[in-house]
Amino acid sequence: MMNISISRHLCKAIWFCVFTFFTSTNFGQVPESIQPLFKASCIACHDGSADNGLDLNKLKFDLTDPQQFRQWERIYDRVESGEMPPQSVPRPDAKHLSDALRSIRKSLISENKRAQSVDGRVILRRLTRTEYEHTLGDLLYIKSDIGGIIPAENSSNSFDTVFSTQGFSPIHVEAYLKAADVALDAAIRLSPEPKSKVRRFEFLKSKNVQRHFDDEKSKPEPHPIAGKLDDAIVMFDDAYYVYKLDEHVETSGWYKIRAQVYRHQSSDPVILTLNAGDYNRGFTKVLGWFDLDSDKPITAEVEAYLEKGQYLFPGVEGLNVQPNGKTIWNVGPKDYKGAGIAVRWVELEGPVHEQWPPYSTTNLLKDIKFKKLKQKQWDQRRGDYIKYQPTVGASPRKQLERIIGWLAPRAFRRPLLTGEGTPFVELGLEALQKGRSFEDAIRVSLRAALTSPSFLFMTPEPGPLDDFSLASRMSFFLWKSIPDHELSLVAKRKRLTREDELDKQIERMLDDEKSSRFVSDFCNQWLQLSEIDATAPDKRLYPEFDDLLKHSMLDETEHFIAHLIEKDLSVSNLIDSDFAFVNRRLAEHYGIKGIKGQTTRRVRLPRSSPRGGLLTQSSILKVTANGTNTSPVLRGNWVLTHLLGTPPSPPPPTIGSIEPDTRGTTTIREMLEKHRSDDACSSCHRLIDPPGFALECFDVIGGYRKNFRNKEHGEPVKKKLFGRKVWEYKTGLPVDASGEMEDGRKFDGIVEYKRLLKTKKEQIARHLISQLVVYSTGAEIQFADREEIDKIVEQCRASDFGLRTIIRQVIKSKLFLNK
Amino acid sequence: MGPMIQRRTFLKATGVALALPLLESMSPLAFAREQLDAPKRMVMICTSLGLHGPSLFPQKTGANYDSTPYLDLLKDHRDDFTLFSGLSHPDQAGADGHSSQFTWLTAARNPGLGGFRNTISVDQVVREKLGRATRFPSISLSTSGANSQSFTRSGVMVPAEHRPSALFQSMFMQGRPHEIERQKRLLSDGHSILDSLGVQTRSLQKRVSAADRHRLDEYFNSLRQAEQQFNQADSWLDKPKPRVDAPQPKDIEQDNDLIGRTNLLMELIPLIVQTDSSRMITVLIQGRSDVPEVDGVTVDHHNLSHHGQDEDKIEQLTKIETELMKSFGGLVNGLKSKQEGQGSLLDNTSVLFGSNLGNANAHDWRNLPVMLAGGGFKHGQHIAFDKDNNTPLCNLFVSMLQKSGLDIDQFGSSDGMLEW
Repeated sequence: MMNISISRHLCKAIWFCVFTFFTSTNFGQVPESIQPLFKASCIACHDGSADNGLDLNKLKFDLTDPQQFRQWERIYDRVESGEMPPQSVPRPDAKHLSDALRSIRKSLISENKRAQSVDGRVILRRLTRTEYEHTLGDLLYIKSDIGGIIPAENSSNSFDTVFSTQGFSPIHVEAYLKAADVALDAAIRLSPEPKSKVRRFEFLKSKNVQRHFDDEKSKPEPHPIAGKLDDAIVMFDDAYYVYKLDEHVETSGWYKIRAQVYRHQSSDPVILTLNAGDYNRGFTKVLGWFDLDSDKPITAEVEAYLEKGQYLFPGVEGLNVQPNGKTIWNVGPKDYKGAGIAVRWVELEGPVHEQWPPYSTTNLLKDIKFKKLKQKQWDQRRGDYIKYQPTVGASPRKQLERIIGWLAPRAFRRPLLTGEGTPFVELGLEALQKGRSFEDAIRVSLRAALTSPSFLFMTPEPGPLDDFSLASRMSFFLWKSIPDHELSLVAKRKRLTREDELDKQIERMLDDEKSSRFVSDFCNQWLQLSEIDATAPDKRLYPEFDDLLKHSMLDETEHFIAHLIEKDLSVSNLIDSDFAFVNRRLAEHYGIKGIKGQTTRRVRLPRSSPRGGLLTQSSILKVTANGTNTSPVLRGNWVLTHLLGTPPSPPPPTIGSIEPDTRGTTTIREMLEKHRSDDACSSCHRLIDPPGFALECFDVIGGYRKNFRNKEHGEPVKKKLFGRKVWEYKTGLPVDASGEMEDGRKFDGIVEYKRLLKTKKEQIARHLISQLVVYSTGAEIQFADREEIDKIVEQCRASDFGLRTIIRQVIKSKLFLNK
Repeated sequence: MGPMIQRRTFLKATGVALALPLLESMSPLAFAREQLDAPKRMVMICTSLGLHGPSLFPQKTGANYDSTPYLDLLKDHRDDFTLFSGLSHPDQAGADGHSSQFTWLTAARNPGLGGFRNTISVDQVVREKLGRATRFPSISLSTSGANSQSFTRSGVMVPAEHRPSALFQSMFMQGRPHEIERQKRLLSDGHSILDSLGVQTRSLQKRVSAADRHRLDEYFNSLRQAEQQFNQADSWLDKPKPRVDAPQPKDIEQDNDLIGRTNLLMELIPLIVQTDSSRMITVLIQGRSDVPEVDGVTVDHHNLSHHGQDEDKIEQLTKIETELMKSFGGLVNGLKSKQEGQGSLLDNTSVLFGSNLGNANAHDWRNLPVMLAGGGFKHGQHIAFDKDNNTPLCNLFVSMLQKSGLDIDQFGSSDGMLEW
């Protein structure tokens, strides 16, 4: 193995020398074939006299220098697209032009391929924070929030998988050591077997709730905000410090959380949430949403993995609005007439487990016997009692070898090299010699393995990926984690590089529910859905916005993309589709009737609906707006960048952004009109503005609108919200969503715009393919990769660019199959 | 419960000064040394949603500047700070309107755009130079969440501590012997692991391509640096922690209590400075999309910052920012009223307070609000630079670095240093 690899490197070295020798004859000089074009059409402006960033007199042609390479790539692109020479000068001679382009292209590709053959496209990609968390979960059979311990990934406007954006620092080292420790705590459970039990918290007797009524310090002046009935406490607004259960979670595990609740003072459905919070890690999360559509008590139930020390609380969604605008905080429960949710009790059942110590423990500590202690002992590190102890056998070395021999190959995604496991085993033995417990010794070994470079980095050899590296790249692409048993086995038998087996595995992986991790992570980054919380809608302009609506939006987009993948539906559905994914909350937002319950499902859109496709989804419309107003520039820029893959250049530094003024009587659209007359602006804005204008008929939370909302000026609002009159805002100026495409075709609104956009189906497919290549391989598209992208586009054409086909062809492309 | 509330009310009424600790066992030698050359410290505080310009900036410049609503709040300290206008980092148009939050201390250009990677922040430069002298080489605090504005040389964000109680505990509360023992064991585990990984990395480097090998160096160096940090932490474990007579702060659980959380940090900083637990502190007052607990404020903070010239919103926004200005004044007061050597703690501590947004309504990152207190600078003026052609904020950073005795004449986008 070693010999082969050395000789391969040697070959490359020799080849490199030969190449350099042949190219060094005219080293650094601009090739003859380009000169005629330069002399006739370029040098007049690019002679260093004008401040246009390119001086052909100083231009060199050493493509091994990355900076010069980029410069020549830019020259090629601008000439090839016809942007240069500009329309104002005579057209260049056709032969000069084609000779020059061919020559530049050939040189760029050949240099690019040379560099790729030496090092590959991807240089030392690291597991992302998301991948790390999923991987530890799958590796150790745990479900713990450990991602937060790892430093956040850089925001680089690219994918977090891309090696060139990934950083590494001593902070990472410390974080990985700590995260491994936390993960091992979650996996190795030695406490007395926790008895699954049911703990019920009657709300009328809850200490927290009681304090809210009795203790002057704990209730807001001058009223309490909770209501008291004979059999229940009423929540009118979220307040976790009032409603949180009196006890924290005692031990980590799977629980059932139930709440007996009923609707109060309302004839419309109201929404209950069940939530968990974790103060130390600084987050709260919703475990489930429930529609209450009658006054009869119901029991809501959700199952969740909870960790020691977390707290639980019920909450409400979208309540605390009265017709007169007064909230529960203003008037107190006696006079408050708005809807609420009465809570009789909340119950916690669990933790549920099949064996003790749990599978995560016995599976990790392979073949180790556990001694059951006569009496439980306090364990300082865990801050908990232990009742079990792993026991040292005749040969601790063998025991450690067994543990490492099982874990490390899965973690490293390949069989261990001879002796590769030894350093980890030695670390454990050393600890034993120092008098540490057997458990401590095992943990030292495991923490080292989980911080080691072979775990954290992907280091395939340049050239075609071997079966193991391919399996690894596939599983981090589609599962955000390590290969499972079957995939590893196929790799071990060297069958993954066979096409039929590769096809089979791709299908299996896409069908596995773990592929939802890919959909979610990819959408978060490709469509910028991770920015959903970047702005919060103005509560007066958008009183209907709440967490559930936000959650439903994200759910829609993820379900939508997953559906296109599942059914291999065409990319044209991204432009427009006759279906959407909604729950009751989102259906109401979209004006779709007859949807019950908060489960997201596929619905057929009425013909008259402006919805369908990606652009009209609220999630996209929200991340492209701020909390108060929409900007055609931001939305247009989003469409060009993320859907079409043609990001406009940034505005010149002297141009400021338009200062938002919501008082006034002009719209941003009117302010943008001046761009049309200014040449410098219009060259980009004729591309940016059309999609932005078409999307003006959607507000900042993706609601369809004919008029802007305004707090001061305008007519009273006619439509009702949650069954009440709207007092918060008025009907402002009318929206104009018409525009003109850059080619002169006109549209009167979003529906016509979408129809015109269909001519760009292939461009959208090409961009999606590029994005998937970047995301899955961890490297940006390079010059020489372009022709490979073209090939993938052709291979997907027969399926009308079905999303499943696209993913399959990306995996089967040269770009994916080589380092 | 009763006595504690009394104590807190008492502290509030009398200002931070009385809450300051007395060093219980300061040796005569240490005292003499302190008098001779008290260490220089830097505190850099950023409120990420800007400060309303018209409420802050006066018309006039120089020492006779006219006061404004915000500056009124600092009138007791007029001679202790300088207000700057016309400062910013160049090229901060980034991936979104708030990208400049992450470059406030680094000045890296075009944050978040095309292959962006952040550069080292000024506090981490100080950490490299001065970090060894103190138990905490540098401290990054925030009012909520783990985001900070501190970045390592490789552009990685240093996670912030948002729990004052946790920092107080690790800084001032003596561990029991078995806890120290346990920590030592943990450090020694970490040490052996990193040692072994170093060897493994060298052997892995022989099996990979040249470019991979080169990038593995970054990993290898990170192991080395982490190891050094472990060693340093280990050596501090043997030294007793300074004792303070302030109680351990109780964290505020409500994450929308921006002012309460800010004030807890402002009360903690003088303790850190006085005990010389760290010489470099950054604080991110993290603007959020929820309604802070301030009387008369009903709209969420981020929204208010995009006031769109709505008068009601501006009024609410200035209510929040008034509290923040008072928090800053409280810190200045806290440092000023504690003697050190011939002067006060403030004389030896440069406190920068400002924002990464000049006009948050338009996400404008130019003409930043910047105030500098203490540190031995000459104060009492409004120093105005060109509004249309801003001076690099890094020039002020360089002045601060030099005043702290560091031999650094360039940082980020600086093209000199500020003198006034």
